[in-house]
Amino acid sequence: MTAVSSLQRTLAGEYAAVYCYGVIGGRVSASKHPVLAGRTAQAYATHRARRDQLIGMVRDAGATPVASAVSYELPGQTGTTEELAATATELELRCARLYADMVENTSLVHRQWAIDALADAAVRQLGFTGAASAFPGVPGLPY
Amino acid sequence: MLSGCTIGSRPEPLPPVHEPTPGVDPDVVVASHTLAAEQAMLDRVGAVIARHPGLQPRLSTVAVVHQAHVQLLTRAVPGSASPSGTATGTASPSPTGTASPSSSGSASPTTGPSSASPGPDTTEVPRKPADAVRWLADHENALCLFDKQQAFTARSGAFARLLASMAAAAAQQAVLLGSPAHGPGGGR
Repeated sequence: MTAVSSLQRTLAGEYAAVYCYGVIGGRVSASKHPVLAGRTAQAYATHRARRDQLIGMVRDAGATPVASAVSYELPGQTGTTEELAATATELELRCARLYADMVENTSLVHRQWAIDALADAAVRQLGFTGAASAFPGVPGLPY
Repeated sequence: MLSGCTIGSRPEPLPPVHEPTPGVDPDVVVASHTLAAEQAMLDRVGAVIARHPGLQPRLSTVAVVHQAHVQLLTRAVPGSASPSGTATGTASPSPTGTASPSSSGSASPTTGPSSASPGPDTTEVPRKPADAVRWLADHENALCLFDKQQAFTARSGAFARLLASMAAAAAQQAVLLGSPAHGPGGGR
């Protein structure tokens, strides 16, 4: 995979994350679950910023950023607070895998961006329902 | 609130990030240095448990994480039966994700340092358990930064991916150790 392809793939993932966090944020009661609401809002802002940064990276690389889809299927249920938190966790796990792939396929400033994003996603998912692991973003390894 | 791998609390110098050695694959040097740092972290966890046995349940996950890192990196450093040596080989590290440590080693949460060690050195471990946990959290932060630097400098993309993942794991442990009330699913 080329570096630009990796950037585009990560960007597509950020589009999905922004959309899904928008949906999740709209279904979390800020008065009943202020912590989850706050973490969801923070995640939404973070992924929106990452989306914009990736668009800039792709353009700087001389390519046209991939377009966002009209809508995305959420990677989980959203009927209860627990389901919303679990869906947010799954979003972060998916983003972490994309960031890890981007580390592998890029170098210098783009790799540094992905390294930081991976650690950030790994920590953020702990705030929902996620558990720690030995190799965040890299499935298939022990623990 | 959630912030792992923060700058500002490096307890002590870690191994040099990258020093070119003639005749040695630079990624082997990276693997060797990272292995030494991960083993040192594992030894610290063992030392804390030796001094504060009551912390063992809380620290078992930390030990499992770094033990997994040590096992994988040991495979990446040619001729490193023990992780303390420097790189002497010329072969490329090959932690492609297909190498899987033995199930017996990864399934049980062994919490001590390597069996070759005479025993954990507890002289640096703070006397109070809460201080000892914070001490570990600070070292996790430092290790996270170190692993990030290694990931940045690695020549192999696949190896960089694993090192970045190890940095992320250290960031997670720093947060979990630094925030007693924080845990999976906590704080809805």
